[in-house]
Amino acid sequence: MNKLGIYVHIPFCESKCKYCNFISGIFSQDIQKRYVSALIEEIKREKVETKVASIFFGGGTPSILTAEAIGKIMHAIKENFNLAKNAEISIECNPNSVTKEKLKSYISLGFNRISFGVQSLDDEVLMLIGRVHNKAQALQAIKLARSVGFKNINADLLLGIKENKNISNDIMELKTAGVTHISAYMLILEQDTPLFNEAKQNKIKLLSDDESVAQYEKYLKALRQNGFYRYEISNFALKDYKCKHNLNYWECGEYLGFGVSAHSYINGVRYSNTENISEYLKNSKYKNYEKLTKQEKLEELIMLGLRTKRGVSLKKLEGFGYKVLENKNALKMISLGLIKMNNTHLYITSKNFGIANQIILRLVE
Amino acid sequence: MDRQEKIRNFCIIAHIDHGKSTLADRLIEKTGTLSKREMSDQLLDSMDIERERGITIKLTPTRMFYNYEGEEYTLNLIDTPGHVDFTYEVSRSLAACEGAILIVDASQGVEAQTLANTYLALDNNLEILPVINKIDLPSARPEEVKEEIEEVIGLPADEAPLISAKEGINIDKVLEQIIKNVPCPKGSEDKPLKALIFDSYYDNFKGAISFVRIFDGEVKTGTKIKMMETGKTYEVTEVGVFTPAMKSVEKLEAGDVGYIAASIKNVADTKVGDTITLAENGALEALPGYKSVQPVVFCGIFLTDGSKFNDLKDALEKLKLNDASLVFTPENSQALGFGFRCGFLGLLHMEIITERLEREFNLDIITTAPGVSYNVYKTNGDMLEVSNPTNLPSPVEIDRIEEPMAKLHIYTPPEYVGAIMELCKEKRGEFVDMQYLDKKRVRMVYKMPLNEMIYDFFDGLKSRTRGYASLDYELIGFEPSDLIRLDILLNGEVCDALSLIVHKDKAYQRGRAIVEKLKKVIPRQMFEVPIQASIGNKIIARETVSALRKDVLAKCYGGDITRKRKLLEKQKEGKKRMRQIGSIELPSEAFMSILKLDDDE
Repeated sequence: MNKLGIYVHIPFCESKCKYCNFISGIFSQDIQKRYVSALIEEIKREKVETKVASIFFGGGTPSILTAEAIGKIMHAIKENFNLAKNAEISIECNPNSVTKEKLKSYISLGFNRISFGVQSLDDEVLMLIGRVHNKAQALQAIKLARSVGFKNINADLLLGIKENKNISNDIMELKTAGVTHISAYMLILEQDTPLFNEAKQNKIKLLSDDESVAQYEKYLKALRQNGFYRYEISNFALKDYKCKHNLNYWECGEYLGFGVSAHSYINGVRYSNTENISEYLKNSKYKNYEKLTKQEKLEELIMLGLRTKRGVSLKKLEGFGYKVLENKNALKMISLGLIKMNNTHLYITSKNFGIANQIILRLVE
Repeated sequence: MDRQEKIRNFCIIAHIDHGKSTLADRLIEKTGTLSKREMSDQLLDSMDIERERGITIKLTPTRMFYNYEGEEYTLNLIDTPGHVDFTYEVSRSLAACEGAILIVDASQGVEAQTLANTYLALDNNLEILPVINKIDLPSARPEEVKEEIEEVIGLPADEAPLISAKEGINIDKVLEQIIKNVPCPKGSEDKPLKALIFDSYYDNFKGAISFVRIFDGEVKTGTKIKMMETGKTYEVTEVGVFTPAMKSVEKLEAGDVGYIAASIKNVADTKVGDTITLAENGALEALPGYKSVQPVVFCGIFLTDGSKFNDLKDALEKLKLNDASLVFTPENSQALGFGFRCGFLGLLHMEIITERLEREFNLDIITTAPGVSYNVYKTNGDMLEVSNPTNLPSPVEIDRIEEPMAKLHIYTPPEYVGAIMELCKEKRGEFVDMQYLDKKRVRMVYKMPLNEMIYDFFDGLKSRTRGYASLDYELIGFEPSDLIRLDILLNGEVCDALSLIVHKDKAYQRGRAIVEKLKKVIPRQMFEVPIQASIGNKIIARETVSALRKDVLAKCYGGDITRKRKLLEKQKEGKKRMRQIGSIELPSEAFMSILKLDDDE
């Protein structure tokens, strides 16, 4: 049952958020045009027969491009690849960069899932982290998307910034507006981002680790009460709305990534594109690649699999000769109640998802 | 004129920073022993660490020639270590001389160490020549300092040359005084050889080399010699003098200062203070004053990387080649693995050795808190010397514990007397005496357990007196004391490297302070970690490090698994630097800071 995911990276933003250290930024119309052409060239060169189960336009802010540009890219993909009938096709949007016309054209291009960078429903928080939209715009955009026909709508939320007394209410409002999936991420202060520097200079005070965890737990409760099921560390979905594209990553499936800084994983080899946009414009052909060693594959299996509620398949682990019951660290963590095993999977107990990285580290040691 | 009448053997004594090395350099320069070009500043301090700290640890003698009123004199300068840890070495260097230049800083006046070393010199019947240095400084008060020398030390200071070693002022007056006032040696060339070893060092080719002062007789290549303390005999392969580089000569005679090489394998066989005589028909009586040197401060030395144990062993053995006072025995700690319990002459000695291990041998070492050696009398009549708290027998087996005591001489301006009294009281000090030496200086005498003194007493003294007080101490034997072992438990397990022997009255306070500090430095673990201080089975203090709850709920963007991979690799690296202490994982830095816990926190 081979599946292929396609990721398209659009590195453009209206403004750079204060916490972001992804490959994205503000670029001229001209560069945006050249980028789309380079992207299409790159897509056309790739020939993979496997059926495409999901497409994901991420960024950056894909919705910054014109609907026409998105259409060209989409067209190139459809020409080159076989899309599965029920393929999940997502696009990331900023609440303030969508219009009814754009949303309609996305639908007509075949997009059936839309993801909004809502981050918060607290205008103060939005300002603090340098977002260009507010709560009203976010809810408006979601409703608009639903009205043009999007049935599967995700909202990204960013936690750990400031206390929020209306968590339960926020979740309810999002759900009422049409959200079917929520990705709730804990803020990571990445080195050298403006937010990092402001926090370092004590210009802003973010929540402490303990406060963040307490807040996270409140979110978990509110999400559960509203029917959002946690199927991965940071991802929550109403019944039948899990994100296929991301599940593919966590299950170590194959994927192709197009655009600057995108990665692909095909046949045990990981390819990566340049992170430099002008280099990419000059030559979108060039890719770095590394063949993963058995150990690396095992580590990724554990690292990614344990992010999901279901956990990592024991059968797959055994395929690598990894026996949980013979691993000292694993046994210790089982005795501490950090991880558990059922007949088919090894998984992190939901209470301990917060320290998943520490657990994973000890399992791959 | 008799040969010995034209020899002067002298040393320089001074408090740290009063300018001993600088004066030595100027004397060498003035006598033309070395040209300015040949001299690197402060020539006599040979080791890097000495030069960086501006203190002299290892003695390097120098022979100089000086023409005075038409006669050529041989001046042998024997440098002395300037720190209280090395009192015995100083005393043997002094014993090799007839006179001593006493340098006193023109602005700072007489300090504790000045006095201590002066008494040592007087004990050795040396002629003492006071010299007042740094007169070029604006804060110089030479007349007052002269008075102080007369009042405090009881030495006439009228004729004391006022010099500036740094600026080269009045150096010839110092030389003149040496020739006029230091007595010449009065040994006999005809008697059997008697040579005092005042230092030794290990040479890879020649073996252990003794630095000697010849009192009687003569010695040359081929002479069969005997070490009177060890009884071992050797055949001399080379004798020589210090120019200051070592230069072989035909023979050394009564009154001379030089070196003897005799293919001796180990510096432990060239004991400082021992007398070298002839193997046959030698002297019957050794020169007085030999003492076997005992370490007073102990600590465990371990490696952050336990697999390099043999490197540590080799390094200590190499240092031992040149430092007979360093002692070490293998030790196994549950928390730290294999290492050594090392004994030192004092804290400075300990610091020097640990620094050399890191610097010269590139070892990442972990040292446990320094402590002393206790005499533990058991109910069955046995006596144990215990320097590692882990080895303290259980309380029921102990009749009494005696701890080493020190007598402290503290010199301070009067305004700090109150602060010092308070500090001494905190350190279980017992007041002995206090004396106003003049308007600006008080001498306080305290009796204090050595263990209290080595725990940052000196730092406390400096900070509470803004550096104005100076300290000198001597060991005055053992006294019974109410001591107990304080254990620290991490997650319910005793961490042996953190155990301490403390006075009963201080146990609670100390235990409280340690667990609080530990709470600050122990990073959160994946489970809750209780930190406890206990005496026997009784928990006297407890803190808890709550479990780690959030690490990173990281986003895994479009296929960017490499980003997560990088994070994982980074965390793997971080984990490698962790030390496993029982079930706890600690970064090395945190571990070090635990061991550097000090008393007043």
